[in-house]
Amino acid sequence: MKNLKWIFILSLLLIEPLQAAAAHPKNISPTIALKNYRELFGALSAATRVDPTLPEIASYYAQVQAQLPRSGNLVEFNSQSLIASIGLGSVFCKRVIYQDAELNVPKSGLNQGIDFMKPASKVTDAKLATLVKNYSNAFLQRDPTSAETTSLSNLFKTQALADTTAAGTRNAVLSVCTGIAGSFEFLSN
Amino acid sequence: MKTKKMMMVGALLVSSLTAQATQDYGAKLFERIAGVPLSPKDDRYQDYVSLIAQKNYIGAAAMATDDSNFYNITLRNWSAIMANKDGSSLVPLDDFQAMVIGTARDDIDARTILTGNFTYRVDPTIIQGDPSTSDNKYYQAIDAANIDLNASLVRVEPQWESFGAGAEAAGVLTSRSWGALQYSAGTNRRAVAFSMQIFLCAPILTWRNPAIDDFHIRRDVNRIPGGDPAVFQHTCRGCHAPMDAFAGAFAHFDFNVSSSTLNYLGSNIASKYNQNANTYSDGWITTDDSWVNMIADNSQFGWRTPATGVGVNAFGNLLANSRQFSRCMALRTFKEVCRRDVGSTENSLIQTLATNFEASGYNIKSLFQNVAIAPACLGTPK
Repeated sequence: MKNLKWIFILSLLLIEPLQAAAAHPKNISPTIALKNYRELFGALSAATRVDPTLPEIASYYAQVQAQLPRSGNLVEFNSQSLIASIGLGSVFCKRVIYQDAELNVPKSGLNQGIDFMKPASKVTDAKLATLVKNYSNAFLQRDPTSAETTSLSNLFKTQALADTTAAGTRNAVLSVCTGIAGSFEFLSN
Repeated sequence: MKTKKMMMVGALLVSSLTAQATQDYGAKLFERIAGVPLSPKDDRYQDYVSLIAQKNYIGAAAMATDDSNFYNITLRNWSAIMANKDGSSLVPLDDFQAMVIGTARDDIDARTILTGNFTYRVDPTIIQGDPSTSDNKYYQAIDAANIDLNASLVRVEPQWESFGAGAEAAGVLTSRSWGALQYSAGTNRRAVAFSMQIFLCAPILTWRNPAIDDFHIRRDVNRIPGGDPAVFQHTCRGCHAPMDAFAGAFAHFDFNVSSSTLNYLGSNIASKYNQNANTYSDGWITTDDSWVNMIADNSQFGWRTPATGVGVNAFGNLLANSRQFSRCMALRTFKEVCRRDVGSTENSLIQTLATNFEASGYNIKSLFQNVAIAPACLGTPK
């Protein structure tokens, strides 16, 4: 929840300049657009490999569908669509983390090597860097920059400090997942 | 020596930046067509990257139109916008959309969307039951199960077996989805207005003309509204003259609102055509499904078929063979892929895309490919 708050605040900082740019199409590249609701749903499903027909996914999608970008035109980038987009991302993120946490220490996939039986503070920097890389590759089709790795690792560590139980590991991973799923790079097309 | 080194470093940097820009262009090209990015872990990734590196953009775009997501996401969106009156993509899957998506997948001439006697369903082993003229449950079940339309759609002929041999069919114009929107209640005039708006991108305000002869206007239109015949002459006539003359095309179709059923009436005329006969008893009496194109001299449409016809199939043929149909499909595709309206200075681009669409045999995949690689859409690859 705390992570979502941070992402929301950071995203709001992005909204105003983007809306201003959208109002003056000459100021932006004509190629920038948003993922529309179908594309976002498809991209989240592809990135997480979570079955989109699962009840919790399908029902959340149905609930926020009308708030997500409809056509993908940049003018649809507003707080409502952003919250809905991040919310949808978090549902996919929670599911993939839940599935992997059931395996205790998944040997493959996005959360490979993360020990969900131990507190997040026990995750080494190397494993954390791999985690960030896995999510970046899955969602953004590229390796993270060093700044992104640092930023997302810090987000993970902040969460790890806030909850020192093993359950806190899920939330710490969730902060990385939603951080990338809620990034403008992922939401754009 | 130092200068040479610096120049080499500079050249390498430029080359690296150019390669990155080309790669970014390639990524965007795939995502705009297919709706989702191509993962580097995907088996097709290296082939795709090679096509982009070779500047074979049409080949790369073709790879994107082969992706299942192109059908499930992009074409779904594109067809949904045409399948309702509001132009919203947020509608359940229906027979209209399935026909458009299937036609594209099977590389079938897009004009058959307005003339063909077919529909698309999925394999009975995937979803049980049959498409119905009485509800949309069959297609909603496909939607709910998130079925891959690319892999599962099956073409079926005729469109409606229940209508009997020799029944009229005109692609989506005789789909249940279209019937529910256009033939329910009213007078079937709505079907004309929306045919023009959806398939020719021509809202009625762009083709009404009070100078058109009013001989085909039906009896239910008041010739002296509010006691003033000038209102009819200057306002009502402009829309009704061309619309009523076209509307005969739909005379054998109706949609029963209470049973939610699309009905084909055979040789009978839907009673709505001759209702309120006393409003102006000298008006047009509909006795068959013949129609007349009263805007045949309107050059914006580029008509290429006779100005008179009989039945909905002939009407669909008139629309599909007009130059404006191709331009409209190009406009809709541009908006879908490029995420913006066409600018006022880009008419020649749309005409070129429309011409290429026709030259391809009205191939929808080819249209999407050509739109996406147009520099005006995603920029110029470096």
